[in-house]
Amino acid sequence: MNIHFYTNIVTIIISMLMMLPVALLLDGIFRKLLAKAHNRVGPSIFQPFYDLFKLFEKKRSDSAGYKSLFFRVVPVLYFLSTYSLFLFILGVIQFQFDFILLIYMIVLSSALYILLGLVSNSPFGVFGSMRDMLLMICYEVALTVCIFSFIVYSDVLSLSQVNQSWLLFKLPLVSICMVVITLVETRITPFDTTDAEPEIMGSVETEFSGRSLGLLELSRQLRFLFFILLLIRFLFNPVSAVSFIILFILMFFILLLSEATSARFRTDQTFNWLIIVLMLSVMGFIRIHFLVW
Amino acid sequence: MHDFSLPIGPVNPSIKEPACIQLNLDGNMIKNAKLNLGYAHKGVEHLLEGKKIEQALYIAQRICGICSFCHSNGFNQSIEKILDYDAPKRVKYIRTLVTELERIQSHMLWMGFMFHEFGFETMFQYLLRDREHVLQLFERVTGGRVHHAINKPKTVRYDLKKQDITFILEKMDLLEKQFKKYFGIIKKDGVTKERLVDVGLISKKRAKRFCLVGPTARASGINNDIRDKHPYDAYPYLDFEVIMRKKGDAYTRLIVRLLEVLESIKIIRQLMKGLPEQKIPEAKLIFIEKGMSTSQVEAPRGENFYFTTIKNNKVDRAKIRTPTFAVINILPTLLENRPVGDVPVILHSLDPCFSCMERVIIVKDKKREVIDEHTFLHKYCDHHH
Repeated sequence: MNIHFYTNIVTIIISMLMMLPVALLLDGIFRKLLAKAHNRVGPSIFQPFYDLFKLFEKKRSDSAGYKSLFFRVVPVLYFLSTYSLFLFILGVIQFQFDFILLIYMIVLSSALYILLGLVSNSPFGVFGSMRDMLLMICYEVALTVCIFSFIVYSDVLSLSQVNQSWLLFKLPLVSICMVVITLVETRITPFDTTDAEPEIMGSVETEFSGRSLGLLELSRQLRFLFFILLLIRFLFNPVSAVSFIILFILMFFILLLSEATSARFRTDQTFNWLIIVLMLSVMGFIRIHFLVW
Repeated sequence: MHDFSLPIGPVNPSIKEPACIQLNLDGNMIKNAKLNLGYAHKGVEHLLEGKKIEQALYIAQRICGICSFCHSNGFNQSIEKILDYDAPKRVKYIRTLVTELERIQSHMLWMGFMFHEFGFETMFQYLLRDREHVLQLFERVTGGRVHHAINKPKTVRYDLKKQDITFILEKMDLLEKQFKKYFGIIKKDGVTKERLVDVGLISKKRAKRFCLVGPTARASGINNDIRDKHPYDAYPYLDFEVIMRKKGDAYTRLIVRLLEVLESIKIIRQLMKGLPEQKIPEAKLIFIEKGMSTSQVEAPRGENFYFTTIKNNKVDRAKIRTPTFAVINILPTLLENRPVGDVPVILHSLDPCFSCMERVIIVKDKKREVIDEHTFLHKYCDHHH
């Protein structure tokens, strides 16, 4: 084992650990800017850190759900599956057809989120899961089609080999679908049907408290960061650090704008929209046939 | 997932006050809904009994937190009717001003929460921000931001100054500008329309059958505006339009309330223009040996009915019928065959205010039972519906 191996390991660990404060800080900035858009003062940008520390310090509630092993274990699994998505973005996992594993991991993370609601002891949790299950049929398939489109268009076999920049202009249909799917995955209005607080209270998270809720919150923030990074990777693939930062801010503001300026769709309306997104993504995929071959 | 039961409330983000709607679901659709009340019963009518008129007025204006003036005005009007007293024009104008300001702030609060129900948080925050202007006006005119204890039998506590009038008119210009902007947003925004159009439809026939009142009834094409039908205070001297629409869905109810705010602004401008130069009478203790009367006022939610009997200067019996009580009975039928996502929107489109409507009726026969008025109507007055 040479020194490079150990240096690599340390770099990976440090960059993976860095993702946690970055995700939390990003959420803090999001909340602060959203508050500004609402004409409120809003919380400090470090509020997600305080919230997380508070949740991890708390004792667990006496919810009947804690009798079940699944109820205790699934939040941890959900967090791990979400956190592991960064291994693909940071280029730690690289092999031929690694994008299939990426799709699998994203679906696994979403499936574990659904399981969270089903194992909790609350009708609202079950309802949230039911809604997510219905929508997942569309958005995960559409996401798969989108990722396949980018890979096939680039004519490579691994995520790390995607070297074409500004695919946004070459595959506009797929890129738009990808943005919409990001809104659904990160639960941002108008597609935050799964999290509709006035309709189904805390949705999947209703019954969770303390550390479990802390893990769920952290996973949500990580997911938000991951999908922004994924969008930049596929849509723009910037070369320099400056353009990366500019594009990161741009994508962040697009999501913020959507959250601040729209109302929430009902489940059936979201489903109808996702069917359209699915069809568009398939059309985008078919279009590659005429572009490439 | 079939035959699933979901309780909305008594503690739920979509209901700002304690009430429980028990939903029986078939998948995502509501098979039937049952409204359970009784969590916020205060026994107001019983509290009023035996109180002196001045004391009772204090309780009356604390029945509701959003339309407190309409309650005090309703009670005060019934007292003045017993005394056969016609208040000076300036007093009437000030009372009408506070009534209309209350309508504006109530509708703004309602609109804000309506947007919150379907996730439009920005509009919610903007409306609450603009509501602050009205609260500032209340503070200046009545001394209180929430409870406007300005009414006294035969008079009002505070007179309006000249600089107050300028301040009110400035704020009205500001509110009108903002509301025209919001009207444009509501008309254009696609998601808002998708969430509200054809949701919670109430036909004119159905609205009549359920004896609906206020903006809810006016959105279904029934004019039962007390300001127009039985004018009181300064309304006979004013020129205003009763906002009416025919469709009767949640979107129409939103439009009707929004236009009512603009109409209220128009009324306030007229009031400020025609405010007579008079001295308002000083508040004095009054004495009524015996008397009985009724009064109606148009609260932001609809007709507020007061029946008062006085004996030896004390309230012998007070019967209050608040608008929510008339409106809420239609809720279970509106929810049938609708998806769960529509529950907050339909419920809120009726503008319920539970804590001022909860009543208890004691039926005394061989079996003594204590029930709320809603259950009473359903159990004993089937012909009522």
